[in-house]
Amino acid sequence: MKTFLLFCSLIGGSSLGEILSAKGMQQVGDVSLRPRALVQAILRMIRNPYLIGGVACMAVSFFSFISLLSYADLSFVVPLTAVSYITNTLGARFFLGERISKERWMGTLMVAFGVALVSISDKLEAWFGSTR
Amino acid sequence: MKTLVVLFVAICAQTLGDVCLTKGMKSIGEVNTLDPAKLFHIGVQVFTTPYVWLGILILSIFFGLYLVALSWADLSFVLPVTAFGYVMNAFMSWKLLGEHVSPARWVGTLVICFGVAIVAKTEQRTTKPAAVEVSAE
Repeated sequence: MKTFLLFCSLIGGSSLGEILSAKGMQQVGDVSLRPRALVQAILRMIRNPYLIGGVACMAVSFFSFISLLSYADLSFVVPLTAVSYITNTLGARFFLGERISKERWMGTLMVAFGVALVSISDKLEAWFGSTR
Repeated sequence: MKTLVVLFVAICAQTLGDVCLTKGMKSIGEVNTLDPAKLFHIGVQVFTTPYVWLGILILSIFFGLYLVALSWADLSFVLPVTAFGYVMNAFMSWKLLGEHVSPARWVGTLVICFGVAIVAKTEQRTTKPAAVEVSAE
């Protein structure tokens, strides 16, 4: 139960954090890399409530992550984070009004699958190694 | 194009920042206590380790660039593209740190590469840019 709640706050915090930050940056508007405009943009950023909320959510997510790591196996926790690519894309679709084309969904699912594969690769190798 | 360039620099910074943090934390040793006094002592050690500070600094640069990219493009575009960091990580641990990279990790890395390539070819922004007062330039 504790693990499930921490997992929810890990994925939920990260998705909510990403979505709020993206929303905040939409409000801040296109950031120019010229020095003066950049300073103005930074001033707008640190006063944007969405952005502040987003960073706070990411902090919650990060502390859930390290709490999980303090007792759960790394190879159990990290593959689960691949789910956040899917939840974030869903959030972008429904809360930010982004249009997710078929290609983008395909690419995102491939990324999530690849991330899951990378994070269980050590386990896979141990398993295949022992059956050989 | 500028979004991809900024994201590439951001990913480089992230990888480098992670390496610095890892180096710093490994030099402190395994954290396996929940005793507040000991945790406090470890906390002091963490914040007096130069590599940790360097890692935090470089990761803040990553976060800043990431936010800049978000101001130009969709979240559903930026996020999958930053997964390219996994590819960079596999390559770095293999080439620079001489670690063993398992076949499954290479396959996963390759799948990420294809996924990122597909997302990178899609339209970067599908929402309207915010109507913000144009800054004097």
